[in-house]
Amino acid sequence: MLEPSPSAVATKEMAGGTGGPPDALAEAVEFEVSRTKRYGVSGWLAMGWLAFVLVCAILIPMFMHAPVNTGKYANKGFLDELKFPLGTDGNGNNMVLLLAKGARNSLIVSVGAILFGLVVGGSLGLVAGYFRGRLDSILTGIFNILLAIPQLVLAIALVSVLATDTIDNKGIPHPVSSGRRLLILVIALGIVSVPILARITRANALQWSQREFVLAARAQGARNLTVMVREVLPNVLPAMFSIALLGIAVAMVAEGGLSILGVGVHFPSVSWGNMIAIGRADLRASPHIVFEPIACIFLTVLSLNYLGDVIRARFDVRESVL
Amino acid sequence: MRTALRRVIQLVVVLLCVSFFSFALISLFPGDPVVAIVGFSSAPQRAEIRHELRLDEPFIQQYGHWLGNFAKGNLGNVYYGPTGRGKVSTQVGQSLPISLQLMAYSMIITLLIAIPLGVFAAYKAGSVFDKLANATAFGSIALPDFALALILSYWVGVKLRWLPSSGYVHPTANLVEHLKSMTLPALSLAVGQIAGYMRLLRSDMIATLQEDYILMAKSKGIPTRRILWRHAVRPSSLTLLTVAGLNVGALIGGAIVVELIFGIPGMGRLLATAIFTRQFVELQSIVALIAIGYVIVNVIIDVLYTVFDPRIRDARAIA
Repeated sequence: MLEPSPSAVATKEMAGGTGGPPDALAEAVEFEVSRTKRYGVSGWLAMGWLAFVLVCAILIPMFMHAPVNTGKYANKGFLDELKFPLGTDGNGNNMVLLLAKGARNSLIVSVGAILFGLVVGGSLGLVAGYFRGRLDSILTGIFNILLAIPQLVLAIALVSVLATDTIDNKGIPHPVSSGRRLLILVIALGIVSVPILARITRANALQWSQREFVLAARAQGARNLTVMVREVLPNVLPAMFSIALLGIAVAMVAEGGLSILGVGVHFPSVSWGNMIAIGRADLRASPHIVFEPIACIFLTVLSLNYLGDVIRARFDVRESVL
Repeated sequence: MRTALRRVIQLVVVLLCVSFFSFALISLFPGDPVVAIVGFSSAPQRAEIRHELRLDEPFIQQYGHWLGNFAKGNLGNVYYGPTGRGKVSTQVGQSLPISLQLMAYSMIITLLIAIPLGVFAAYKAGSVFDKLANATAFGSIALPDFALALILSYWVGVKLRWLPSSGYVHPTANLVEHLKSMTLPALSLAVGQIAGYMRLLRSDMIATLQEDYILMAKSKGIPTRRILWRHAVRPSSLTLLTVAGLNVGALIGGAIVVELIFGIPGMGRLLATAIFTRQFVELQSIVALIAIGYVIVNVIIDVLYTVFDPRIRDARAIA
């Protein structure tokens, strides 16, 4: 017999379930949230870590400067010397400073990309879901075509074409500047995120647009734009926000993948992904150069995923389109 | 019949759009693509290559030629300097099977681990095992595949020396060494996937286990194992199929990066070399190939739905 009466347990599990396709963790999380009505200890830990990363990314590069000619401190390991708690890289750079700078660029790329996706994808999805009809089918078709290319491949294609060093007729290469490269990464990863954010926005806008208060607003003579922004958008935001948090995590990981392929952030600038890509060459001798940024990425992605799930559970976001 | 026809038309439109996008990539390129492809070259040599790539023709005509060649299996050339030429199709012919092997192995590992875990977690829902499995799954989703690849290649490959940390052995050369060289890459790809499959299978099974026919089976005294594996898992195969469809894209992207870390000469390395040496023709063809492959896999999964699920099959037959 099925000994521990799984149906009883299952009923409890399902009670907090969402209406969409079952998502085990969302259920578990929701069950917990409904009990505590708060973010819980893990939620606060996640927020704490993200705040810590943000503060470090801003403050450490402002107050700490790379000492000149530090060759004698090269390749210090984790806790080898108190002066360098996280060790140094092959050039004697303090890992604390590198990780903080890396955090800054990783955050710029991933948050920037998702903001781009939220603005472009969100507004397209809102328009598609609100107006429906032919416009909707055209836009949905475009999203589906963008989704028909694996995300990382699309990003690789866009970045490698847009951010190639141009070569003039004399054969002299003109490298892309770091700032421009960051911008290209933001746009490329942003384009990749557009169809995903657009579809979740569209699906929610479709539901909310049919509610009575939208009809009421329109009956009072409000213009379409006003109705979309003031009536529909506020209700769609939680869904967009929870998916955006997951999206930031995905974009951060994607930047790491691009760096390993050699098309991410390039040398004078640092990102977590590019630290991994460069440190990979010296993995045997000084693994800490690779594993410290990996730990940072892991904790950040974990926190973002967790918070995304918590928000999704709190606002009962339905993932019917994902 | 009409739905089938509509599906085919949809597929053709998507394939055309995807191939057009891959083709249009080259026009996004800032500056002269010919100069990028062959850095040091004389003006006549550049003119020749420009003509060969049909860059002197109208855009749509270029696309038509490219598509025609692509359909015939001519994926264009790799340029080694102004005079050397190699065929992209030959390179793809060597690299693609290796990437497919890697993805197949990781798929096998995923299913072998995820299905028992998911079934057991659902059967013991709420238990310590279930909670532990869920937490592990949540954690492993947050660990990028390239990170896991580096951790494994360091611990298992360098520290413990159990398995090679890089390199590839052809299966016909030495099957054991081949499997050894593929274990770590396949494992690094599989772990993230296992979590996805396990979580969905678990919640699907929890719902299935509450069905009346399970109660019926229990009351007939059918052993638990048989109920779980014969009665409860089978309806969940559609869920597994859905996850497979969602995950193929991630699997392709992951394989590209993981191959590079383990020095496996698959599509990932081909792509990286093409980018590094600015071979845009090759880049175009590879992106188009991957995208088309991905679309076709998703269509196959869609068709499998109809085969597996009589409800969808019958509804389509009536319509």
